[in-house]
Amino acid sequence: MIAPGLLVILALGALSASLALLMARLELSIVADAFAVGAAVSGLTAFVTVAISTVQRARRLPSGPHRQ
Amino acid sequence: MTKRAARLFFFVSTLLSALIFTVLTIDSHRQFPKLTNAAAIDERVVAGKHVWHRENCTNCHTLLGEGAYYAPDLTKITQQRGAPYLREFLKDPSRFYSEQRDGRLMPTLALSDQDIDNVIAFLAWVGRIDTQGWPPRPILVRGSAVPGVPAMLGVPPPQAASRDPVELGRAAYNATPPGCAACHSIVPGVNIVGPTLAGISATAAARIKSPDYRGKARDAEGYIRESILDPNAHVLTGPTYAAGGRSLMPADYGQSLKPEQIDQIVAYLLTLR
Repeated sequence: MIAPGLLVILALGALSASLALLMARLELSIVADAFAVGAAVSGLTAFVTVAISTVQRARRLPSGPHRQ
Repeated sequence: MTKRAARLFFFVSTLLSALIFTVLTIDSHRQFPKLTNAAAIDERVVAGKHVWHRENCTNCHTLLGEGAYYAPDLTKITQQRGAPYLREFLKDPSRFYSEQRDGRLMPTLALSDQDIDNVIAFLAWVGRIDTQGWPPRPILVRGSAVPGVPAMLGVPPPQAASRDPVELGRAAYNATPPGCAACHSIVPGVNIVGPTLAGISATAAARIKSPDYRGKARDAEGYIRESILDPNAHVLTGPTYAAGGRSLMPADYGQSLKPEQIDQIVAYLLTLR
């Protein structure tokens, strides 16, 4: 199950990337760069969020008999 | 933010992104015919493309950056070298390049005159594709192999804000088009295809006094201007300079360059020592 926070970050990333392309088409280079940076930051944040969440879940798993 | 609001935000944003992406994709496709000069594709261009593939040109050369990166990129070659040069080159490449001297060898393909005309038409069509200034300078084999020429290949970018005619001339000289630097080096003794332009001011002054001179120039500046506007006014004899008494230099700079650009290039060339 995906956390609501992650959904928002992913949606923000996709939206920023699309708007960056749109602004580039409209030749608003600085705005396009700002959206592109926003998209990159969102993507990295999503990646880090998932990584942290995965590690935390792994730590919460009960130890199996083969690990004893 | 509640779970329901987060989901709603996700779906709306994703839908909006997809919509923007679709509109931009359609917009790109709408512009392809103009950017690629699709209207200029005629039978010769198509036949030239077949020659290009039949002879596996892309196994060595690149077009629009795609290819083997062994031989020069040919995207703007018709603007850099001109059709007369390409015609002579394709008939006998060994006249222009040798493996010993240049480290690489273009094979003699034994193309018919028709094939040569077609492949030049194809390359001319490729050259008119809007590549937004790429490649920024000619990509040469011979130039990169000759000692002293890296100074030419590492040309600093033009200073658009400059008002100095010599600086503007230097920028125009190294730009494509006109592609002067693709054929003429500014290094003494280094002849890429056309003669080196190092010390052209002194060379021109001496040349117009020569009894063999056929042009109408009265001074070095006039000689350089005449050479740009009418390369056949006085044809130099050199292994790669002319064929059948006609210069291989493109003869249409009078139409393709603005008068002020010619003035600037002349001003720049007069400074070369």
